[in-house]
Amino acid sequence: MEECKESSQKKWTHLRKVLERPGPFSHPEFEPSPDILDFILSTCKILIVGAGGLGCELLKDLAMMGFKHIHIIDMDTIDLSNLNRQFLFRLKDVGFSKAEVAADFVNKRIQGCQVVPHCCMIQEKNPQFYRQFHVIACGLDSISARRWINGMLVSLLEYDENDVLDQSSIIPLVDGGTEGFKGNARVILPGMTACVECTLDLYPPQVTYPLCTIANTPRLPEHCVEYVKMVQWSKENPFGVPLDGDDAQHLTWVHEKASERANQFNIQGVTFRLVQGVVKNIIPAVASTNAVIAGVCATEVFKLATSCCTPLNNFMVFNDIDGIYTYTYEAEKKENCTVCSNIPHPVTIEDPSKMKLKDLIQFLCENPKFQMKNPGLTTNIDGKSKTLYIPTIDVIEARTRPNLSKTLLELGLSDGQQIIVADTTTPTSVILKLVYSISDIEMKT
Amino acid sequence: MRNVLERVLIPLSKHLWECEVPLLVCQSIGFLGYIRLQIKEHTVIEAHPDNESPDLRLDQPWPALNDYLNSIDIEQLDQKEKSHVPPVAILHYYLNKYKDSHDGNVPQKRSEREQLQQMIKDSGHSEEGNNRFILEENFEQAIHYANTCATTKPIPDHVQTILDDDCCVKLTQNSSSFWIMCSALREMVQAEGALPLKGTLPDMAADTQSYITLQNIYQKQAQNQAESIYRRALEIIRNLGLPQDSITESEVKYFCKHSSELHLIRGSCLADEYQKTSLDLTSYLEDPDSLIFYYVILRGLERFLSEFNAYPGQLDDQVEPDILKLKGIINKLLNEWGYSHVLRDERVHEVCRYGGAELHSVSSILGGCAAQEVIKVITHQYKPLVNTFIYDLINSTSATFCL
Ligand SMILES: [Zn+2]
Repeated sequence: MEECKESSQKKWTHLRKVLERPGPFSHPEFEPSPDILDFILSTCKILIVGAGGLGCELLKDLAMMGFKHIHIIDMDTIDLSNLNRQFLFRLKDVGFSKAEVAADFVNKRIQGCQVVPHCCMIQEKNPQFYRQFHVIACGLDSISARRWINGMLVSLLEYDENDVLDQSSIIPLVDGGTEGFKGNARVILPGMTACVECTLDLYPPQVTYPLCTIANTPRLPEHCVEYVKMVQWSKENPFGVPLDGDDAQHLTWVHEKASERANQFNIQGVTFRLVQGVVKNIIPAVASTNAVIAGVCATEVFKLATSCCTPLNNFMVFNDIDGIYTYTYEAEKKENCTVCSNIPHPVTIEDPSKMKLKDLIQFLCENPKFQMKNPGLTTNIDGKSKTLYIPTIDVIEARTRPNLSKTLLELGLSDGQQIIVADTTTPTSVILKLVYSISDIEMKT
Repeated sequence: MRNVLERVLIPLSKHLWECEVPLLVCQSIGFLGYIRLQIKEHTVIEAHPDNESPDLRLDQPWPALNDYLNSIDIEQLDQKEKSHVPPVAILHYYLNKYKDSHDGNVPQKRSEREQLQQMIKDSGHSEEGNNRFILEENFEQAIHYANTCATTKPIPDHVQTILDDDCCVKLTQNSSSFWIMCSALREMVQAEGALPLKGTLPDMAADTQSYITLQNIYQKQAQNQAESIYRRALEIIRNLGLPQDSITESEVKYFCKHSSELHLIRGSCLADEYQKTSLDLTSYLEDPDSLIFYYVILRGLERFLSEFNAYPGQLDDQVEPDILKLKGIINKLLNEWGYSHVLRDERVHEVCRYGGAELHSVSSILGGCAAQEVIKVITHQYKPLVNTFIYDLINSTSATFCL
């Protein structure tokens, strides 16, 4: 076979040293052999999620490390502002699919590489698609997309009749994230080690907005401010200097323009404080941080695919604001994780005769453990399925909207009731178990 | 630079040290990375510290701030006004009340601060149906600021070191604008006992009008202080016989805004490490898990490379013999430096397994780190590495040593 010949080629001598020689720190199951390089070159399938700053680096790194069968998925198109760090893209590529241009670039540049692009949302792919990969690497800036991929990989796990996890159903997830000069990389063995959901409290609320939203479909007051900051300021340059978040005059100008824009779009809530928050809290993407985090992730993918070295266990943070600093620790798997433990999640209700359905939904959105976006709730009463609220389908939303202002008791939900919750943050549903702290007798009196 | 031979590196390091040109050396081998930044003197103006607490100076209000804050009588405000008044005004009001009952002293000890916080808490409650009391956000923030921000901050050690440095005290015609500004700053600090204000206010719960008024008051004062330092700097320049345009006003403003972030780094010459590191390695060598051993191994590897013109383990059938040779070299090296510690065999073995292999992803990590350090050195922003960084990608841990 041609590939077999290739694995003995000189260009892989560096990889062959770590793959064909035993080492004191390699995985216990590691058996040095030329077959491992063959596996990387001809069999191993990797999925890269995201073709942005991290994704470009990851793709380049993995292709240079010998991986040939790489799929890359990203629904975005290339924007002018991406070009400073997303180095697989050129000016002529603006407006085209990130995944396709990135794949094309690497396929041309690295001989024999067969990158397959997917220009779509991750949610459009079915479990069969995800099941084909040996390792999945994520370079995303969105937490909800991370949570979705994580949920998908957990849903692919198979357990035998004794609830013992089938090891071959595990697809390791290597996840990287960056913010300015800070970044993190982690290895998740779904069902075995802490998953994204187990450590949800580690992710700060998201503050970046995609440029296309800002330009075309603003929804939040923040979007209006971003628009003035990124587009109008440089166009009109009212004071002849760059925007200074500490200058009250500048902020007043931005406030005025953002309010105009908000009015135009009927958006409420552009306040001076909000303007200040948005203008000052910009965390720019830094190319060097992306290089570091993607490099760490690619190293872990390589370790997982080859066992030539034990993988990261399991979370590393990086920061180079003051010197260069890293910290590695083992994030703990939560026994009651909403995704990777298969048990219903108790929710304590103080007073079900006062708690309304909308309060419960608000709880699911605000509670750090759930952090849902737009949950839909169904349940089972006396063996019959009952829809409590479904926000995503217009007709059902209209029909179930009145339930929002009913209390849990009015809805006929009793102590111990199980509620099935579906949300965009996870491909599988979460089961809640209501626990009333006031007993029935007390409530009736 | 990557994997350069000792006989090239040592003279290069010495030469660049003499010409004061910074040198950054990288090594990428297997799962190990090494970065060394050699820089004779480096100054940082804007260090971008994380979570800096605001400097409100309510213990030494200047007239403009005092007049404005005194015009707000917290206890006369109605409920709506009370919920919009800036936390700074709240804190000022109760700080004065506290002073009235404590012989004019501001709270210093923790228990005293808690007393002040209690005063704010007691007045900040507002009633909201069902007899439930809530504390308005602005009052909460005032309580929070009472902890650390009310009183003028002492001069940070890293700034005081700079102000006491010979370069600052004894200016010459060759002094850089940094040191001239430091000298002007020193005069002001000696006169007023505090660094200039940053001129910024943190975001706080308040109505736009009063927030902006306050922000302007802080900004104006910072501007006045910067102008005063600029005038001092011009005088220094004149006395030194330097041209008046050696320092610009905007340069001084920037310097003043970040005067609490100033850092001075005086490095060491890489070539000197080949005699012996200035850092005493004893305590590090006593911990068998310390990453300092990888530093020692990399030094051994360089010597191996010079002696045998090949990496240890470069040839498949030489891995075992090379482990012994490399161990010998390392032991000799430690002996020369005056240490009698032994290192874990498996680490030497692992490095010989690499046989000089370079992994793309490891080099990519080092490239990212090195690029950022170079940007820091050029821009004088953020604190650079001091001075040796070891990245162990086997365990994904790293360490920094000042050698
Ligand atoms: Zn989990």
